Amino acid sequence: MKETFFRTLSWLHTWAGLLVCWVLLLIFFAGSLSYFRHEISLWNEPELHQGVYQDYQADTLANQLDKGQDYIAAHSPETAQRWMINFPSERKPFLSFSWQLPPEKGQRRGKTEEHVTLADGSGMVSEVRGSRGGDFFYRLHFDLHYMPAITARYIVGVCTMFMLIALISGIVIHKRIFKDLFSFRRDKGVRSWLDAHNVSSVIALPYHLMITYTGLITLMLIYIPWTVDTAYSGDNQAFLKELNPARQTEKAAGISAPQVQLSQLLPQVQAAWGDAPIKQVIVSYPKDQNSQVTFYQNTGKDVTDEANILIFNGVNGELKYASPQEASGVSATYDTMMSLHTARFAAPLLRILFFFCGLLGCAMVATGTLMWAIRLRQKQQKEIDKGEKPSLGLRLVEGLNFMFILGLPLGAVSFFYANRLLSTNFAGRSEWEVHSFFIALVAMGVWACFGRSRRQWQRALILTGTLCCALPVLNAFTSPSNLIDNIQSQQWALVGFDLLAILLGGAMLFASQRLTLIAKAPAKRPARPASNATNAKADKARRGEPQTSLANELTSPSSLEEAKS
Amino acid sequence: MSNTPAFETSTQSPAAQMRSFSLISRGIVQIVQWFTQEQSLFAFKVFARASAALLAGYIAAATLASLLTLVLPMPRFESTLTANMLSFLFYAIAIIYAFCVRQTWHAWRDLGLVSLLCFGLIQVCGQ
Amino acid sequence: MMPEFIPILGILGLSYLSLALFALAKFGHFKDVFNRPPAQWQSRLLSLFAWLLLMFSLSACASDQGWAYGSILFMGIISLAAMLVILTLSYSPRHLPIGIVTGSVLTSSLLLSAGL
Repeated sequence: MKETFFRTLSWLHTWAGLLVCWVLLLIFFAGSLSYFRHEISLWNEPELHQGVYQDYQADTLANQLDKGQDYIAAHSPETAQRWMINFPSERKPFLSFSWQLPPEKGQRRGKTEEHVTLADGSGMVSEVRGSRGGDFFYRLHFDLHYMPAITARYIVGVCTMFMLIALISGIVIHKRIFKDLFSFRRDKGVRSWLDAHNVSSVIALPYHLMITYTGLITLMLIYIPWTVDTAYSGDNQAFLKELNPARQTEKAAGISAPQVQLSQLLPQVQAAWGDAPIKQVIVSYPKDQNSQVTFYQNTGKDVTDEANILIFNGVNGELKYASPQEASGVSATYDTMMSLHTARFAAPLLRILFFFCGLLGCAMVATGTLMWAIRLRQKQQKEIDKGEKPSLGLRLVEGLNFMFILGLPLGAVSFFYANRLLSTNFAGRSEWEVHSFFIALVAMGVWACFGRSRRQWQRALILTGTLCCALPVLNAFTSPSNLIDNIQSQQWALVGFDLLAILLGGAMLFASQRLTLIAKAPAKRPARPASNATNAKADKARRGEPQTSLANELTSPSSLEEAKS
Repeated sequence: MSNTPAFETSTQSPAAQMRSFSLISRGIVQIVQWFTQEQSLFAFKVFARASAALLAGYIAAATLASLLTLVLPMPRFESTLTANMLSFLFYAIAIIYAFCVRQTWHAWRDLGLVSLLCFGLIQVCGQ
Repeated sequence: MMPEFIPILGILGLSYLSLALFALAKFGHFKDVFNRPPAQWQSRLLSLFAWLLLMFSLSACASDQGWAYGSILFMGIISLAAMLVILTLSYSPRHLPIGIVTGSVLTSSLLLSAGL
């Protein structure tokens, strides 16, 4: 398209990136947070912060199953479609019993009610505040919000495709990829932003490629469904059956039948699985003729997304289905790719590394778009100095940068504050926690309309950083156990949340100090000489002002290094 | 140039007809002039390539993947999964091809041909 | 959690060491750290050692956690170690040798824990 292959790909990289970068920021941000989905959900339910924590105990399984079955049979409504007994696991260290009601009109799935046992066996915690917790961020990154899920998934799919193109073109145009692998020249204006963009992309390049491509693969049957149509001549059900052989196709018969005692099935389970920990037991269509009992294994560190399950007939306890031990190469590849995206297998250390790489992805997108804003401003600096307004494109880019790069963290922080500060009594509280995320995001957008200078960035960063650092304090006041208590009781998920909040808040405060960014030049300003390399003193005097011209920012010497372009 | 239309619906005088005709032709000349300006030409080329990349590329990738499900020497479940997993790679290649091919209209031509070819082969293989 | 922590820390130290040597093999970074340009043979030797340590780091991950989980863990640790090397080189290149020494100490902790 342009004169050379290289220039074409450079153009493609810029535009593929720019058209979708703000949505990508949302996706990467929410996606990175969803690595800690269960931990966030736990933090969002302070009723579970004390007395509930327990480890998986293999020798009390039968007891727990009986207790669970009795409790659910006694407390759940007759219309419940599924009963669930969740055993403690590393990420959800509590025993809980839940049931799912049939879906209401317009819903795909019914509401689930979960009651958590107290660790000492003395009772149950049944009044937990309604909150979507980490599931909000998980759903946000592919179902977005305020729109039908299918629309959102198409939008996310298009953005992911653009991201893939940006990655591929970025690799090709980065000629000095190995020579500049470790280069990061600070305080050099646009070049520093370029280095930051290169560093954040290259050091986690396998991760970025993997997460983008596997993201497309997780929803591939929506994006390109015609392969199934062609291969199965329109018989989609046959394909779905092969994809998930355990899928229950029978509905409730409507004929009641006695429910088998779950603990009686344990010997069969242990015969098949040995010592492998059980994660969950689900009874579908309980007390019905067609009821089924499914045991889910806790697959731990196996790099697999496939559930390892055993399905029993719910009335007579006969084994109906056992997960196949071997999978074909293609199935295994598909399974591995799905699991790499969701990272369910990751233990805490690896999970933190995944999160770190996800944040690098956010940094990659953010540095790219900030660099573009600076370059645009550079091009228009002469006109702006003469008193003309910045172009619509420039104002749009700077404004969206301000809104998303600052609004997303502020939105997340508001979500957590809303979780603790909203009263537990009113029914719509989980929706309002979500609304507060978007209200903060839009508020940043409105702020951006009024000012996007370096001063405003600093103020916003200080605001968000302080609120984020104060999250452990908020937790101490609104939860039965604070950070110290959590360390003592070894509830590491909650400790980790508080520490990460302090770390990220601190990083934002640190960034607000080290800021060298675009400034919104005032409409009327006397023309300034273009080259400022010699006006070092004049520059230092001008730096005290809140709004400085970008050309000065780029060419003026920093206090630490000499200006060397 | 004849002033009498083929069917007698016009009630304008010949002079009025001449004037409206010259207005229209001047309008057409102006549109063509705007169109051949460098900026608009570039914008048109971008639009042509982008639509080829996004639309024709998608169809090419989808039809190629569907063809693969029939052609790959595996059980249909495995071939469906393989073809679907590779389809995004095909789409990415198609998009880059659409922007890098020398002449703009080649993007539509080549991706369209791939789509037609794959679609035709699917009909043939499907029997 | 403590026993799991130590081998991973050692692998991180080993990766930092390996990537630091990769960086030193490059002209610009060697000059920043040691104030003189590297000789051809120095560059090659650093590169060679860097690759060896990298391979050792990968096999340590694999032997600790299995090949599937281990290679994924390896990629994550490399990203973190690369970030640390870049930050060291950017903020205080002279301190890279200290980083190398620290990396060696952590690596030896890995070897000790493996011995145990």
